[in-house]
Amino acid sequence: MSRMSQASPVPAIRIRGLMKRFGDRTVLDGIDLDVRDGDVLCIIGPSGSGKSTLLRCVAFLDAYDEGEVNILGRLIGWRETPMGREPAGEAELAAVRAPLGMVFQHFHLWPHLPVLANVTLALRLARGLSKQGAEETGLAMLGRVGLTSHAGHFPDQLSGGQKQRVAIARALAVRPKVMLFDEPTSALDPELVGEVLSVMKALAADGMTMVIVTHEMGFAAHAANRTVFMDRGRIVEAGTPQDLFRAPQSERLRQFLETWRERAL
Amino acid sequence: MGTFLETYGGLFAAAFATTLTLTAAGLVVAALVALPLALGLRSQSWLIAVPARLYVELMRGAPLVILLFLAYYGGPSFGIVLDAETAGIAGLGLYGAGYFAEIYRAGLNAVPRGEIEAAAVLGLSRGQIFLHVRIPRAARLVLPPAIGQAINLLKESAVLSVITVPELTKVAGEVSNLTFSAIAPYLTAALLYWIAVEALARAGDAAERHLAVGKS
Repeated sequence: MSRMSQASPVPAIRIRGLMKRFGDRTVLDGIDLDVRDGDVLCIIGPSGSGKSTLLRCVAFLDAYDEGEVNILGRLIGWRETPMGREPAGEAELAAVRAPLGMVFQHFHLWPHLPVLANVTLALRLARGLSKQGAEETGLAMLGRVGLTSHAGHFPDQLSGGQKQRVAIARALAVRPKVMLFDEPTSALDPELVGEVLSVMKALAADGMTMVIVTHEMGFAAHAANRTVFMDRGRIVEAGTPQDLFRAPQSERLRQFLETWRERAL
Repeated sequence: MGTFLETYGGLFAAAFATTLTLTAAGLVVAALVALPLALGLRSQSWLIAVPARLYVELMRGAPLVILLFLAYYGGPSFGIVLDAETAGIAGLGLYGAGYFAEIYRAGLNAVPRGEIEAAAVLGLSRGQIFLHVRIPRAARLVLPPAIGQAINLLKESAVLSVITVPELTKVAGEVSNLTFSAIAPYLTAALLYWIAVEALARAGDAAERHLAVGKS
């Protein structure tokens, strides 16, 4: 837990009273959560519990209805005015979002661009790097995920695991402070899960702050320093992986873990 | 058949050239006019979206021949006097634009949302996302239906015969009147349409294969 003691006073992500509804369905029902520098936080829970929506609200891909999400101390997506809240402008949203990197379940690489161009597009357009500078950085990022040799391939020519590693390199290229992973291995064939998890473990070991929505209980148990269990839009339990996996306090978490263990056998 | 071609071959060649030229010009007009229309169809503002939608529905709802009559015979009442070729290009172009706009709109909307979101989280502006992600992605989705529409337009150009444009169908009709025979002239016309359609389809296939590898 040494990395937690180094936490800066402003949490990387600070969530308070977060509410999100889709129509009359409440998907997030009052979430409070802090993510501190260096945290590797896994969010687990049954399907439909709101885990992915939580992550999407943090990146403001879904607009939350009430409460606050602060990224490095700045409210994302909304601007407080005396008249109430109004949507933040495009530039302001981009600036508050800049410390975030995001990796999606279905990769969402751009199939019309080669692997290297996938990694360098944002460096060139959003960060204003030269072609050469962007490509140097891009190749270095592909090196981190072990795919330098695939720089000229197109996404369609890669396996699912390779695609996800490129997606991680693409997100890392703009040097985010926090990486959000939305079920990064759920769309992968079982034999390809390991290569993605090992890239993520290496990232965690480097001290990257990470929030990971996952069904990989093994990863949550071993790579995370904090685990959150969500159900029906609420955080039911939070603590170290040991706390949650060895001594679940709630009946819901006990049931969830039991179902998972039965499936694992 | 030998003497038929010897006598009328030159006429058919010229008519074929006219059909190809007018269709090509009409296609260019249609493809270009459809761009702002497609953006209009996707606009958040109803002031833009409703007129764009109205245009598309009107063009898709009226037979081309009626539009041509309106432009060629009705135009002069509004002080718009067009020669037959120009009216033909305008008719094909403005009519085709309605279809192309709808094809573009569908293509732009079919780009997976996740690819747009990935770009947004990486800090690309809306304009950059449109130019570097949405448009090139949509181009690949749009190509097959656009080729289909181009083929339709080529065949629909036969209607220009009714406003006296000396294109393939018109000339086939005239030759038929001269020779008191329907088979040879119309079969010749059909064959030439078929050759053009086939060439267009092949070109489309080649372009699609080229894009499918993802080359940009």
